[in-house]
Amino acid sequence: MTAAPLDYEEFLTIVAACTGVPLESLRTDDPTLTIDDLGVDSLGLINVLTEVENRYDIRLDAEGLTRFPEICALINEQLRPAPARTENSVVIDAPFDLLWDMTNDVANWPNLFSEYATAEILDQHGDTVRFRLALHPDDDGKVWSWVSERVMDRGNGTVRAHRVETGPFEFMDIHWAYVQIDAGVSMRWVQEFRMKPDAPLDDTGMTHRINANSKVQMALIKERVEAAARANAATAVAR
Amino acid sequence: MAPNGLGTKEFWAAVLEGRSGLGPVTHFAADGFPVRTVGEVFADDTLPGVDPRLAVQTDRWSQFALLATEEALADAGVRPQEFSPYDLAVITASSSGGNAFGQREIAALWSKGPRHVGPYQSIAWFYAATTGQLSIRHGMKGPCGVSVAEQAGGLDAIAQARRALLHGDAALVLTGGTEAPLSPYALACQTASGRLSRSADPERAYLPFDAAAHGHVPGEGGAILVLEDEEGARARGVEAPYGEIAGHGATFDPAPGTPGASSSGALSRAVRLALADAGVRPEEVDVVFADAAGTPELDRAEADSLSEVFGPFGVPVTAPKARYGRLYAGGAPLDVVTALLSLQEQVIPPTGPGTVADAGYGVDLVAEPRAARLRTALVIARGHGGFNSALVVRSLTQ
Repeated sequence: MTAAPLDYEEFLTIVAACTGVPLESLRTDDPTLTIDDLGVDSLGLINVLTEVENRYDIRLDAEGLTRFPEICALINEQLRPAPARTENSVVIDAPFDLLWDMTNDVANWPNLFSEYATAEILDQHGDTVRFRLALHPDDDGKVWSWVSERVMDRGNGTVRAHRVETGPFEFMDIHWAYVQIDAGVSMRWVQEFRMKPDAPLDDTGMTHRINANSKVQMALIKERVEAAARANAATAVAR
Repeated sequence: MAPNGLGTKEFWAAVLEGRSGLGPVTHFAADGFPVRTVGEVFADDTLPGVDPRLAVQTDRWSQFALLATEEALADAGVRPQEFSPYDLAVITASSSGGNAFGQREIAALWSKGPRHVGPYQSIAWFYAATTGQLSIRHGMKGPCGVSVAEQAGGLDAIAQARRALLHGDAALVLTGGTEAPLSPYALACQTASGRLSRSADPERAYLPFDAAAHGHVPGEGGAILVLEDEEGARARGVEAPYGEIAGHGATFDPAPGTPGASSSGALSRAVRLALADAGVRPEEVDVVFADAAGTPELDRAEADSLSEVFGPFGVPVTAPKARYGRLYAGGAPLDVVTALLSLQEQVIPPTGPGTVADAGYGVDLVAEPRAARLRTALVIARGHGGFNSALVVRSLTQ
């Protein structure tokens, strides 16, 4: 659970100290009252903003904001930590096309990844696919399921995906990149996300979980794709 | 707003009594300063009675003026909203601006960086800030300005206010001046003059015209006055004005050591200019409120000027500031207030107990309250750096 870093009452204390407007007047129940109405001029507002900027080492652009609750919300937005980010990669000794095709065949993911029980394609047009994934039941028997959309760019060897039904995430953005190197193809997964305050895991917990699981899944994918590559090579030789 | 009395009534009582407002520095630890005795008005940093919205954006010196103005307007029965804003002017004096405010912000600049300098620095430290705040607060949009000439500036501001009225540029002017010169930076600047008393004894620290004179005591505060032309004042029902500002003269000292330079010559000329402006002969002056610098050389120069114009022992001279200090831009307006009250009460307030004029000066220094027939008073103010100003104040009752 992440509370707002600067609660409104504390913010008003700063305003009172910086403008001389008594705290009681600032604690108005009338949401229509503007900064001006409360007797704070432009210099007073600058004094408040620089005090907050210096206190938290942030920069605020309050241009156009006319009420203190809006400004407090702006401050809290600025005070939020950066989104969580994970990055994992693996080098797979297989032809680029084979790796690309196998890892972008979403319908077949339950056979490629060990974590997915089902993958249902909801919509596909061009390089964009929308699909529903479901995990195997967890220890409590709960089945986690969500909808994602994936946009594949074969020319650049990149894929962008994001969760459409975000579930416990506030948002989840995924970026895959495939790069041909001497030892094979490097496949890199970068995920950026923020958990919802009421999610069972916080950002740090989810980061650990994704890092641990990515290693497992990448090892599995490497094993399966390289096996397929060897099988293809054997077939080619047999011909 | 004086160290020995807050508000006109209390100040006048203190002045008549010779009550001292001098004491040790309590605003800050002044151990490293060559000053032991000062005249403080309030011991607190924030002055009671100042709207907190204004307190955050003003220096102490402006706050003195804000408070004094409330009393002045009430005393004069002036409601600014009943005038056209352009008929109301504000002309004050300041000798050093918002010292403490500026020091605080400069400290933030050099210790933490430019982002830590507050926006109010832009409106709080400079000399015109007080005039500006008074103008804003009371909706006074006529000719506004500030006079900067150390102690002499207080008289120059009142003279400028008088000109604005005589020229018809305004119907009413808030004028006078205040000073808050007891912060560390402000005191550091004053030490350069070499005129500060180092005495720790409040009773012996400031002894103008005394053989034991050895400098002055700096004090804080000042006075704000409501000035208007007589016709306008009578028209809005003023029955008992304190008096009139009858004349003014100002000169500047020649550079020390230049041919013909005499320490008293320029001052004598300022006095004569003021008398001429008021149309009074020297013998018509009933009392002189002296600049009373409190150093032998400057006391000698002022005494010589008075002897030149009035003859030795030719006029009663008083310096009530010996009991509350030199307030720089605030000092002379306070002297004008004292002079006006003297005319009203027909009594000359004393320089204070303890000061015994050196007979060699030829000055009739008033040591005890002296009843007299008073109609015309001369106020003298000299500012460090060469400023001389003299103002004639006259009673309007016969």
